[in-house]
Amino acid sequence: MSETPLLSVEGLRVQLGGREIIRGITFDVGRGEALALVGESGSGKTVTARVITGLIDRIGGEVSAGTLMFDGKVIAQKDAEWSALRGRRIAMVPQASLSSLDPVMRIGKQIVETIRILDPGADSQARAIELLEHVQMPRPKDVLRKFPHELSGGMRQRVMIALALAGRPDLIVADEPTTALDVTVQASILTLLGELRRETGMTLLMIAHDLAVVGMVSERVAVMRDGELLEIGDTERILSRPEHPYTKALLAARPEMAPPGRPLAILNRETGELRAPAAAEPIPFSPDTIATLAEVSVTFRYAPTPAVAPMSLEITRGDSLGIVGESGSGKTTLGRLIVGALEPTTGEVRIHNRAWKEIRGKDPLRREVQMIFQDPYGSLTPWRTPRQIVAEVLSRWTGASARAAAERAGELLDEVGLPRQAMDRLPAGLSGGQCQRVGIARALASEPKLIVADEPTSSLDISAQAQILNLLMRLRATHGLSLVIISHDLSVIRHMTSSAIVMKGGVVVERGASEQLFTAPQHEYTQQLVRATPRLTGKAVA
Amino acid sequence: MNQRNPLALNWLRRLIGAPASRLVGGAVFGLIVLMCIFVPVFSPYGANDFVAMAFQPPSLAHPFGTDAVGRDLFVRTFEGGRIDLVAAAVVTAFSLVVGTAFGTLAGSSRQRWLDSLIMRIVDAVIAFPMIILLLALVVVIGADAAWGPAPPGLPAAMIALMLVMWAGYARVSRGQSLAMRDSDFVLATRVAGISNGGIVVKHIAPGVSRITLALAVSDIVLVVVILSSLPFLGAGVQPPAAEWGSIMYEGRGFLSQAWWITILPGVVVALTGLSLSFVADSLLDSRKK
Repeated sequence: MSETPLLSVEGLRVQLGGREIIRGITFDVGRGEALALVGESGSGKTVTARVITGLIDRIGGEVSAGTLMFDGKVIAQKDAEWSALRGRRIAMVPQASLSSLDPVMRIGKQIVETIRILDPGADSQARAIELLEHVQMPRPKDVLRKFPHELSGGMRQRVMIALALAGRPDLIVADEPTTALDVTVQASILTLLGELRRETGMTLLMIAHDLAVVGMVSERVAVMRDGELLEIGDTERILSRPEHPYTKALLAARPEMAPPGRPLAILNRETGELRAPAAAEPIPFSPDTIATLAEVSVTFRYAPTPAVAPMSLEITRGDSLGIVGESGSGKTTLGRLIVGALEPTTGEVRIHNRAWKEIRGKDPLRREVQMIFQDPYGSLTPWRTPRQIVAEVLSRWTGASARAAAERAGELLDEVGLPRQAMDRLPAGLSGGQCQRVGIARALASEPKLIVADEPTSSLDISAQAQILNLLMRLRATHGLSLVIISHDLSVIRHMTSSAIVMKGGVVVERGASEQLFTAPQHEYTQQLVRATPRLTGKAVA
Repeated sequence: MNQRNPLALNWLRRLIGAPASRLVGGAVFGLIVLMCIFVPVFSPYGANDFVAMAFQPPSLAHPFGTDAVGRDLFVRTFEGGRIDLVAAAVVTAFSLVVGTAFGTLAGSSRQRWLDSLIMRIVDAVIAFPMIILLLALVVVIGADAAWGPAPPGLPAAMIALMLVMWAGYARVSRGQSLAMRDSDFVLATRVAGISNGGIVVKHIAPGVSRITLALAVSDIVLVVVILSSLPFLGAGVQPPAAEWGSIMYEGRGFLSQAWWITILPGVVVALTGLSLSFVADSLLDSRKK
């Protein structure tokens, strides 16, 4: 092996839409090495990946300065050379999603098509099966005949990796390869990437937003923010002794970094100071029962198995309850049952001893239970401003005049930390974190006793997540709320709740104290979940 | 995402660009509207005055020439535009309001029977051949009945169009509101305790009308074209009233000798259609997601 790095990026600058979004970044990736580019949304990590795969002009960007060297040769963007490189020497694994595969073409045909172009001499059928075996696809022959929608997200991602391997590339660029996958599937894909590296000696450049995921695959990490490379080094060093304040903040924002129930440290971007806000003083309240679920179950029409199998649950004022599970576990359905957005098939959900179906119209019990949603944009009416959204709820329940309600809405939005200038903007002009704050303000507007938060932070960046978690924790204390948090992320549950239930396939498999579920899981599935959850260990799989 | 049905010529749109297309479309349409308002006012002769010899080709005194009986076609064309544009606006506005209201009601109601009832009526209306309905109505109302300021033949045509066109809006609105009824933001609003009426009025209807309004702009063109084709079927606005369709109809027999009678008003109709399509297209572009 020669001493020159396989890939070398020097002083790269990229213009996109009249703005410089990559501002002079320099890094090398050695042969057989794995480097992870980590950053939050807008950091320029995906744009960098586009440059390295020669696709930057497809999104309208332009390299304004800097060089890209691959295998000792300078490569110009928009060069005909790219067709000789792409797929054959540099391959890309996109985000796991349905849109990366042709929905009307069988998997086999898609793989064969790629093999014919990249590897013309090969027996394409045999090679397709070989590739699928390579990515440890169960029953590869059957998979060849399937359409993309018939495969699970994890299997689709294996197909994407097989496609990338078809040209036997030296470098694989994986752009968030496990985002949107369940934790257990994520762990298996990351293990696969590690094993493939060991077997083929390929070089890996991984784009990720999660530092803990990075620790599972790559030896080196580069941290990016706003188009600049802040810090680069060995994964173990970065995770244990970060130097840049932003890296420190990213690490401190992880829920497992603070003791459960204590606020997380937040970076102040003006002062560069990393500090956790003081915990709020809880207000006193009487711990009476708010919601009772008695042998509740839900079976959707035409579904062979219930979405939620019969279960019972009691939520007392001041409780913090976590509901953990992967996609399809029934956790969202259970959440909707609790807030009365869904009628149970059997059993009853009672709020202060009245069933949801008796609570109609302006019944004050409707105020008691509110909900926060996963999709921050989707849960706000696109043509109503935050102030209108919150004021509407306020005037509904307090009967306040339009002006008084608008004023009070401003106070509430201020309390949840929405900047004043954002209050009269349409949701499309807000960030994901800001939208989530509006959702929280709307939930608070009716002065509820119980808030059900369905994956409140899973579509947010890690620092926005820390802020929202801190906010929920503070509001819980200052408003005397009970909180039900639904999440796939065990560390969020452990940080935010005192007790939790674990669901799988609509069945509650384990319940107990959150801390205990995390440290001493009893059920096999919980153990599996705990093992699969990425942790800041700094140990690469390979 | 690109499964949008282009209303205007696509190559032309690409040529002048998306924001420019709205500007150009708006400017051309605005000019035509201004001409319709001011030409009959400032012209020395009325639409039905015999002002010169018949079959005069376009000249400075008569920019569009004269017709078979010596009337000024320039004045007649823009006088006729008043009828066509006002009638189209009234028909479209009625269909838009009624269609959007019924469609949104059908789509957001939790009463299945109400949805079924409204949509079966819509199906029946759409399935019925519009031209037949139109001719039947003309017979019932009378081909030369004039109501108020509307010239003979126009009321029948307008009523027939209104009876048919609302159904299209109802169908689109229902689809839009069905999708919104199950969205997170409607669920969130319902959980917050807002009444069903409030949800429909403030959270669903504005979203529906963003789409139907843009559709309506493009439908004005359709109504103009239908109104001006009706004289060829013996319905529509009756002579001697000036109307785009009837002017062109009168000129069809003299196409080889006096092309201007048909062609020049036809160009104005075409420009109206094209400019409105540009405006509607750019509206849909910015509103559809």
